[in-house]
Amino acid sequence: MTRHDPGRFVIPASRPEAGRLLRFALHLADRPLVAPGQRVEMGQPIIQHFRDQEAIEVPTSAAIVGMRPGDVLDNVPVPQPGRRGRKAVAATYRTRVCEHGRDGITRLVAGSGDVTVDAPATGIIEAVTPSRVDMRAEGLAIDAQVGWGRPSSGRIVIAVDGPDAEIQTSSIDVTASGAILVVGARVDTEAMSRARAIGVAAVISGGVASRDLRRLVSSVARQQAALRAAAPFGLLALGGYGRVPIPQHQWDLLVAAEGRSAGILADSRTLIIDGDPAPLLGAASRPAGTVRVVSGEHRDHEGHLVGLSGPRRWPGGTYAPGGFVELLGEDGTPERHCVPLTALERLG
Amino acid sequence: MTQDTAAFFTLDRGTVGTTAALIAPVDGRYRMLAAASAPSALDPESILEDLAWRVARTDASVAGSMEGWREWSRLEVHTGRPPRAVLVAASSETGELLERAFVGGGWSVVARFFEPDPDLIAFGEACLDPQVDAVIVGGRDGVEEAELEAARRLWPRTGALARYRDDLAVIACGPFAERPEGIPDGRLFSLPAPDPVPLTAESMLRGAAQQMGVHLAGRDEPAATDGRTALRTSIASLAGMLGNRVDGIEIGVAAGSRTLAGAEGESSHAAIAAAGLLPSSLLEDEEAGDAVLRWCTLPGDPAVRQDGLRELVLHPWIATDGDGVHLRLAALRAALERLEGIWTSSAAEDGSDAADVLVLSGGAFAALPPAAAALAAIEGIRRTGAVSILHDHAGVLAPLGALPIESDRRRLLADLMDDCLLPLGSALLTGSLGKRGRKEPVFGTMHISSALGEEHLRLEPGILRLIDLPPGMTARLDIDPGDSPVLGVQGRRLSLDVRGGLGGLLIDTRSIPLDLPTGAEQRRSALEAWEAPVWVGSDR
Repeated sequence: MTRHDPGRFVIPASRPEAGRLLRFALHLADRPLVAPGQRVEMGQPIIQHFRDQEAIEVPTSAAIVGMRPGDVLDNVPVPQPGRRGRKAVAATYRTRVCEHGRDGITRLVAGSGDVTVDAPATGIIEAVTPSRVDMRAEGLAIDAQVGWGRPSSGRIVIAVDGPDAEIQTSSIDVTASGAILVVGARVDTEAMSRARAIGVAAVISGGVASRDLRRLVSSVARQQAALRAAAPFGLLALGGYGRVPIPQHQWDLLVAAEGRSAGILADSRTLIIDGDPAPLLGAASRPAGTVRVVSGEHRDHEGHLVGLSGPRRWPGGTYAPGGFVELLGEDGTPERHCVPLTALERLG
Repeated sequence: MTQDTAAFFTLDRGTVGTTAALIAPVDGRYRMLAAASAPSALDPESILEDLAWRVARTDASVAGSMEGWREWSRLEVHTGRPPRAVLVAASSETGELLERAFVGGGWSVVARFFEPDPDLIAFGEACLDPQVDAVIVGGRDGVEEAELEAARRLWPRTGALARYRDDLAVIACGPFAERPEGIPDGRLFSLPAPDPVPLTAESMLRGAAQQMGVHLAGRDEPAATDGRTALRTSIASLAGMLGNRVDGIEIGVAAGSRTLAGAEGESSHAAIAAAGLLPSSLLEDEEAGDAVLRWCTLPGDPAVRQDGLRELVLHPWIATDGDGVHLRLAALRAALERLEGIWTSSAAEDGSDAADVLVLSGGAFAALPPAAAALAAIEGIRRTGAVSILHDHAGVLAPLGALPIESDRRRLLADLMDDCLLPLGSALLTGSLGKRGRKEPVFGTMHISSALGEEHLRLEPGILRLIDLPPGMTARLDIDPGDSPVLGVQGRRLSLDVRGGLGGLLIDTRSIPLDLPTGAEQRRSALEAWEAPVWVGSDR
């Protein structure tokens, strides 16, 4: 970028990236199922997670006093009295060590109701600690703005005609089971419920309304309370909250990736697409000087930043530097508009 | 940096934005020649180069050749995200003192366990949260033996749970001599025990907590002077220089701070994480969003406003027009409300924190029209009296606070005051005008005279008036209090002079604290009526 390039005053858009480090957090009772250096395939179980955790106290003994916090301790007997005249049933806990107390008691955390966490991408395990598993993913990572749900994977299916379209709930059918559905500008509660019910692995939208997200969270909480194990399901919104078209360059990338295997890690708001990244990067690339308008009147239009206007007073009464952007008008001819530089992101 | 120094830059680098200014000697004194703000994702070199060339295109003679701008000195400060902590103590009394010190030191407390035997699962899960920087245990000498014994049990338990993570700091505040097993030196810290002092007062623990927070949260950031500490220093210097009580209010996107100082030095200070304009809790906690939207005048579906607010958290820079500016004003009012709530929670309510000059700093004020920024300030920090409101629009105060020599700082402040502290105007808060004794109360009156003319106002309660009074002008206010005390005075007339600014003069007879209607629509209407004058000239 040269001294005269106005693009240096515009925030660069987040770029797809190969070799992203993914972090999977562990809870107190969770157990990693992988080891450092191990290669894992997409969909392979990497963590045994427990929906319920319980604190257990046992006398500290010579056999366990050397164990460190986070170490796994199985076959801890459950203290349960047998019925009169019968022998007690031999049940045991599966635990991890928390603390060898000064009071001679070792405190453990036992887990029950296990659910496996599967790798959302192919990669190499870089680290396993008592609190997390780090994996270097091989695919192409794309950043989203909003993420919710469990890690999941499937093949990418484009379910709408364009980045600004909205999916009809009735159009989600069983053929989408196991897929990562790209659903356009918005996904509502009804569509998410149906997608979950038929086994869709994840949905990718432009935006999601806070209200729909809250309803989804409540629905999942009710389901967990009812002890119904559900298949992993996640949501990524690439644009933000509310109704937001999928940014055109990301839409082009997703269209190029249709049919490929992919995974999502909602905690870090990441989509990872398997396979050769070159065609995907090609689809998302833009010529130098290309910017996207991210807010205001021309939101989600791409254009060319041709110059700086200096500080200006904007309709809200604030002063901020602006830039001249050439956007294509409805008749296909270029139109020059002055836009706050902070309302732009640089694509090229 | 002295009068012999040629042109130099100031840089205030925050979590979301960078503010830079170019300062150079002109006709024997330093002047600010150009200033700019930009998202922190941009290369600061581009911003500095732009400043240099902007001046060169206008009048290169004032700062010499611009070719050498890369070599010019820089006064740079950095403000990082607030550090996050889990607090542990064996009693609620010790825990509250511990929390007071860390909250006043700029920490965000994400979980607290103030009991002899906290729930192991909840405690452990709180420590496992990857967003948490430190688990902090507080203890005191001179408490009951049962608390001492419980604290002795909690300390090794904390150390054991911290071993789950390899990046969690373990901080002992108080008499914990035993070293927890398996925590390396780089993660283990010892600080003083909590003191029974107000949140806004200096204490050994609060000072240490602030330094520790900067160290932990800034691990990945470039080494630079902490912006909040430097701003605090500058506010005290400014108060000393002016001989006035100065109230420095700084609201950044991630946290805020307040410093109250007079001619004799600083009297109170706190850096408060909860006073950030857009705390990340807004993304998950609907109640936190509702608390902001309570201040919002935009009509329509509250769920859509929640979405808009969350968009603002994700992209703090984008809202420069339309609804975004109104959401930003609502977020600023809510941030000031949180700041005031925490500040007054442990401070003496004796009016000793009233000030003559209010200095506003931080990115939250920058993206609002001047009158809107002034209005938000007087709604958030409500003290009876007249106050001049200044805006540190170029973010120069904090970098000047990084200067090690007080006399240098004062000299620069004296030179740069007119350039760097934008007069937003003045505000007169009369205090609550209650009815006293009679069926028909006699309201007070105010006569305003300035070079622009004369105006006569009735001081009815619950009114906010914006009077045009441009920068550089002063107005004389002659007040007849009527039945109710005005500015604490009753039964005699009083006069005072106020200075103008870009926002004008605000006459505020509303209650202290502000009494907002409880009904959503009535509240919105009241706020809309109060703020209508500040949007004159804007396309709202």
